[in-house]
Amino acid sequence: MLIQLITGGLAIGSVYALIALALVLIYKGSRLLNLAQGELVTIAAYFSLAILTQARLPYLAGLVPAVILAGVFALIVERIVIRPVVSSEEWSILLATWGVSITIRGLIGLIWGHEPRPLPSPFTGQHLHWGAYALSAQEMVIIVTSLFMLLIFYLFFKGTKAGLAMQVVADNQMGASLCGISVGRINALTWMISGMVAAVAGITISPIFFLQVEMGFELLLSAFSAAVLGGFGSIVGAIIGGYLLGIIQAVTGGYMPEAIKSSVPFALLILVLVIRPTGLFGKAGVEKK
Amino acid sequence: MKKSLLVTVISGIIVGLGCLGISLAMAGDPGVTKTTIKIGSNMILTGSAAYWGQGSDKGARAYYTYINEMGGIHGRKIEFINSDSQFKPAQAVAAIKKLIEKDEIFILMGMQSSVCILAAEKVFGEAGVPLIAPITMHRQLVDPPRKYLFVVFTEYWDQAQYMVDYMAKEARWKNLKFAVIYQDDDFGKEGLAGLEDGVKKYPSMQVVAKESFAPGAKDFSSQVLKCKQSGAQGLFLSCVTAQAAMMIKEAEKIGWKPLFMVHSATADDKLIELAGPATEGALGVTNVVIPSSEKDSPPVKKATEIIHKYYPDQAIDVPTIDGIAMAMITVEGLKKAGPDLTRVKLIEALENMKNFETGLVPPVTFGPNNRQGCRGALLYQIQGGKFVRLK
Amino acid sequence: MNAPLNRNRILWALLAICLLLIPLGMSNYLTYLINLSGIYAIAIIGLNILMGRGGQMFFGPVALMAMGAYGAASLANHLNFPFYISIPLSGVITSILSLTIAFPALRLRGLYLAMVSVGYHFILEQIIGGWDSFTGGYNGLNLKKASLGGIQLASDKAFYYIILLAVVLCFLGARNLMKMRVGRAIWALGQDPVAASIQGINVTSYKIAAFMVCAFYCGISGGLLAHYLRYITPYHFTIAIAIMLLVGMIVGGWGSLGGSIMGGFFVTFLPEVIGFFKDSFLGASVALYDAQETISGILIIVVVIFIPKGLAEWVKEFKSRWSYHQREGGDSDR
Repeated sequence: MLIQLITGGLAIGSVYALIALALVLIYKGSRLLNLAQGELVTIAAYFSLAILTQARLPYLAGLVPAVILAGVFALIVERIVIRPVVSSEEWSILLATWGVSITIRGLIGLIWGHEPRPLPSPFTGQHLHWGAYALSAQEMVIIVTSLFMLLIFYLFFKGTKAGLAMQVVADNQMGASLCGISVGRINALTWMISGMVAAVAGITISPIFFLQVEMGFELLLSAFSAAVLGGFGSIVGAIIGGYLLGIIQAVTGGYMPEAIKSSVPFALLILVLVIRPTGLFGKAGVEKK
Repeated sequence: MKKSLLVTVISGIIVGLGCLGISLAMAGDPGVTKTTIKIGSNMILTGSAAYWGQGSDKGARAYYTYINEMGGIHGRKIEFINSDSQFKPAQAVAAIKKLIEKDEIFILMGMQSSVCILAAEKVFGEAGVPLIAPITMHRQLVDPPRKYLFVVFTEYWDQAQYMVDYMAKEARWKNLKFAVIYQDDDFGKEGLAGLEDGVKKYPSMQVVAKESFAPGAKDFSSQVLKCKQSGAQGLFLSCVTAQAAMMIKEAEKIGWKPLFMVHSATADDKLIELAGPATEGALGVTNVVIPSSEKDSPPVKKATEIIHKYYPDQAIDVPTIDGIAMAMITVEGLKKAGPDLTRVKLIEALENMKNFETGLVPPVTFGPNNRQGCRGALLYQIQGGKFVRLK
Repeated sequence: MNAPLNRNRILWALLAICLLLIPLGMSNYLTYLINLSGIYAIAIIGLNILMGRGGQMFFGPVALMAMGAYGAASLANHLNFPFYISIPLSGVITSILSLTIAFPALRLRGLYLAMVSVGYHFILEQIIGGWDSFTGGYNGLNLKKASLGGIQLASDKAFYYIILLAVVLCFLGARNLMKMRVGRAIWALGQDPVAASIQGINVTSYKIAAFMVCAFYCGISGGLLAHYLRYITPYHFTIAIAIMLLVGMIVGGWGSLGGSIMGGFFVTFLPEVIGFFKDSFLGASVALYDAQETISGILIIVVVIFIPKGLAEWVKEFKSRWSYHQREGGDSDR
């Protein structure tokens, strides 16, 4: 049973890892916590629903435009809402992103309604077996696509000019702009990538969990816990944190009463922040007022 | 300067609307005029069970509009004011308070979610506003019976018993080991109690596993796994559709194919839509006909006609049929109460309702001490991707 | 010298009379909304002391309200305490229980504290939902009607006076607290903790004090809610409400006590106003909840961008500009 639980945990862990990655990316780039990150996941999933049902494209062909749309959407949000407040107090920015999150939820409710919808996927209903253990094909898709995204991301970050520029901005905004890097453009790019990463998470998880207006917020909280676990501010940490959280959650669920299982991400969060605020991989001194 | 202007405008609007609200609140009468009757309701219009509220809302509304077009009831047109509970008792209480004190409705009908109704009863019970034909059922709603609360549906407890009694007579099921996954509140626990009490009557059956979940939970991997490991052959799900579907898919994923069983809160086409072919063979016990399975029966055809007249795109599913059936019963009560319409007269009229046939639920009978309109249930099984009635 | 003082006195007296007479002319429903505003205003005052003045980013006031609510409910149900004892006592209990978050909070700042407090809120929500025997779980908990010397006080109007009294006491209490040493230390702590400790202020003690005061206020707020609604569930204490309290605090004015009261009204009346707009312009078929969410979200964004200092600040500006026209000289009160 343990192994079965762990494999299940890996799948949800991949989703946490992707969203945590998106969160940390924005944090490193603009020093703000994007409370609307969950909604970027949701809106991407709904985009893909619209594309797959209206245009009747096969699953993978529908994925790509949805991811791109999500990236553009994130870009628009950054321009309209984040730009004007980026120099205000931390509070204001946090609240602005919360405002975005509420607005998106409201709009999705208005446009698509609140019924849970399944996302059509060719992998539904199929499974892979190893002896007594099973993994649904969709979960496999989640794990594989996440690893693929992470790989692409790694290459981008380390290997391209834009990626390197992002690293510089993350480290030192002032210095970066002195070097002639357009901080504004890099921030926009960061948001776009965040949106796209979140999109992949949302689209791959929807066939299993069904699309619902509220799906983003819960994922956000878990992803945040994952990011903190790994050390908020460390991209590698966020990813590992995601997988770890998924597995811990699944395993505790198997052996402990229900009420405790849902508290796991939060309890872990508090524990980590109190005992080792920098997380497993964070650098010391990353605290802010 | 600009900021202050914006703030002034916003404050001005809020104050102005506040005053308007005050004056509106002062006008009004208790829901009945020479020309209108105000009927209020509170349904699950948003949230994961939203298709219940949306469907029932349309069903009821279509019927009221139809009645209005035919001249109304003793010359009065029905104004139907619905509200959202989001499946949360706190919201329901606030919404009912608003309906009674601000909108000043005459009666309530078709409310959903027993937990919400029990919570809101504090408000409508004390205000003396009758609730007719809620679209849900719970033992506590009829025990003890209240003068102002007329329940139509069979309890989940009775439904589960009905199903177990049926199964005990079938060779293939009479030695079944049951597992139950239930929502951790009164709604879920009632189904659990019904099943357990039913199984107790038959020594060859037993309940080998019980798992619960918090309302709104999305992940059931551990519960389903534990049920599988218990060796159960049947899985009874005491919850709403979305979650039942997720659990069925979870079982499918881990390669477990028990006999799934659901009750009326879940037994409808949405389940098949969400969970797919894994639902094949599942049993559903209901207190209302499943319209997709009874498309040709005259009452279902008539109901479909009425609903499609005003909502041509509305799917004719269980929630919608619930809505129209409960509206029919409400209207019948209002008709019988006569032109001199008061709450007392309506209650009297309902108490005299005997075997009122909607064709969509079993015949409805109330009495001076009887607030449970229907007894008995219907059993369906999913065969070939559709619900089929078992005789 | 006496003229402006007399004028002020007359204005206050007028205000007091208005406040006392208002409920007689209003519908129950409007009274209900005003009562809720008052209850939330008390919680926002607490939040303002901790966050607005003390600078601690705390998302957990609603968790503290929940403690206060369930605490008061238990005291009333199991020990038969009357409401005027169960509510303050529950405030004290909540204050003590808040140490469970105050101590971890000492090590955290800014964003991290914010997120821990969110986590704290959620864990508490789970506890309330899961601890059926004590809290009634998701079915909720009922309370008996509040009574004073044998008379039952359950109507909206009766509670209007109770809540009015509570708000006045809390407001005055907070104002005096802020003027005392504790208050000034908390404020210094909020401005710059390093400078404060250099000046000899024991940052640790005052941080904890700020938490406990906030918890007391939130606990009272929760206790009032419990006795007024006579029915509480975990759904009364969601994170969404916590965030609305925060927005209310910001709209009313960071650190402003008068603004807290405005904030309370904002939190309660905003959904109603939006509902009104929606019905008039968009019609009944559009889902209210979604329209509310969308408009609330846009409103929050607009508020954050355009009114960062809050309504109370704006009112002060207005007042000082007005009194500048009346006479020359410096500002009146601060």
